[in-house]
Amino acid sequence: MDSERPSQKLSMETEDRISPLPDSVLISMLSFVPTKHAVATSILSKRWKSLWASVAVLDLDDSLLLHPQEGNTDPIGNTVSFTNFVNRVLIRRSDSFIREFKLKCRKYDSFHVNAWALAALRCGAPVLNLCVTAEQQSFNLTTDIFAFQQLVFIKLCGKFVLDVPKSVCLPNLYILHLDSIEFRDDDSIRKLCAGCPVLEVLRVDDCGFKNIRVFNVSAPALKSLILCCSFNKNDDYSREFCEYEIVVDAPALKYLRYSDFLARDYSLGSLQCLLDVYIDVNIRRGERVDVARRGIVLLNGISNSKSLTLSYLSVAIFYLLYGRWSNLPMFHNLTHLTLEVNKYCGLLLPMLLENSPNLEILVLDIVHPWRIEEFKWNPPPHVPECLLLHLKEVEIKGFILQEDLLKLIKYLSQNARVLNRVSGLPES
Amino acid sequence: MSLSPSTSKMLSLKSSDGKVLEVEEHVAVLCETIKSLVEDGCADSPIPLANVDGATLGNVMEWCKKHADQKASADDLEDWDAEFVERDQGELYHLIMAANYLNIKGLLDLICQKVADMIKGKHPEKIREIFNIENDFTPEQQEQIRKDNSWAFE
Repeated sequence: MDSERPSQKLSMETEDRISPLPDSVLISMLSFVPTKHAVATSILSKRWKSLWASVAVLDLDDSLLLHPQEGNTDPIGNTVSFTNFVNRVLIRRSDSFIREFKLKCRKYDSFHVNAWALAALRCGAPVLNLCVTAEQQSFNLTTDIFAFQQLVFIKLCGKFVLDVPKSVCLPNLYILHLDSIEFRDDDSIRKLCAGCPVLEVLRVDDCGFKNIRVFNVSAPALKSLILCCSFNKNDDYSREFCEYEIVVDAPALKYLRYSDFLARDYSLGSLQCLLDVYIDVNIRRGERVDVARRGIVLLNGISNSKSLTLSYLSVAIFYLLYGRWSNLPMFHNLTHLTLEVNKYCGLLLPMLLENSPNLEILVLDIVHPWRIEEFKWNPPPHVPECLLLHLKEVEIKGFILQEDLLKLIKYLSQNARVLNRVSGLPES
Repeated sequence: MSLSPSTSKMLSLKSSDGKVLEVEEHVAVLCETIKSLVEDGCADSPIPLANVDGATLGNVMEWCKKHADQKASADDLEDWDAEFVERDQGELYHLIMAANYLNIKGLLDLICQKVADMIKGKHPEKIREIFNIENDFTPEQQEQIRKDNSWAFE
């Protein structure tokens, strides 16, 4: 193909290919680089001098240095310099439309951050992404941001307490992502949801729940809920953790990803549309009372899902809960089950097979190969219905030769009558 | 050609250097420019594309074909795209002009991202060198720009 343009290869070494591109294309290119780097192109040539001022995406990150090898020798000077820079950028753009405003900074006071965010929102920004890193106990995010109706995406990240005003009006908000923030009270998340009638994605990562008793998500359009806390039995989260109740009223929910200590209670409404659920739960050190009931309520709540993944820890927790005290719920819709393999996996599996009459695909994921020796398989007394009628596919991820695992595979191959694919095994 | 999901109707596209390319309609309409011609019923005769040469048009349609494929997974497309933009600046220039003219947002964004990655975090002098940009400022003008946005140059 190149032969059709013989002049091209010769000229490419010396010709400026980029500057003749239309303004709109260059501006679009600059929207893919952090604002700092976009502004730095102003010095390339006269052609480039003012292009950056038309870029509708502002991506401001105070940790970026153009010459990191020279080191950050003057942190206070840099703070002043960054503040001046953001102010200048906003002034220079005056009132022109901002499509996306992304700000990541450390040691800045609320005054500046709030002023910048509001300036961007007044320029129509539908996408707001604020990340105030480092410890910021005194940081107060202005509640005025919850009144800009054009917002379709909000991400707030930082260890500050989130204040939510009495009335939130975000009729177009589609995605809300909260990361590391501390909730003021039970009303915070309730008011947020109430003010976002079309919210489809709610993601809550590593947030602080110490002021929360009931985490209430009531969102009619919600399709995806991610509630993840990176728990560790010895960290602050565990010590500060106050058992709260999770209430979800989201009839359209399709995807749920949940990673936390078992909550005090669950009220999961009627989750009829669930397609895919991932559960990764743990119990706190020394916790005994009532956990079985809580685990049962959680699994009952998501038992409509078509696909279910239980993490390494969850497999153990649910085996210990159900193996001793109770029966698993029926998973009538479940066609796809993934278990992260631990020593209880082979003991929980017969119960899950028994209660998933329509299961078609089973995946065993060996996430911790060094623990595989503990794996035990006890076949159920009679062959479960799903093996007789539906189980088509078995996948072993990260296969390791182990006696009981081989027994399980053999059991499945002999008893699953419509099984047509076993993947992840070595050739022999 | 196997049957496409929507229609197997073919469109003829004529490049600036007179080459005619037969393309399935559901692939060609990834170009908004062509889509509006089809919608207006003006797509019967070979569609003349005065700003796109034959080689570039071939590349653009290769991209459109891949992206019109309903079966391609997001990961697959990402890998494929990454390989697709591994080209010299001359070819990238022609592709970007074509994507702009034919109004293919996905392709335009892909190449803009690629070029942006070549700019990101580089010293201005290095950017000039990569793209052969001639510095037409006086030293005084340069100094003024540096002063105006000092943090950008730190």
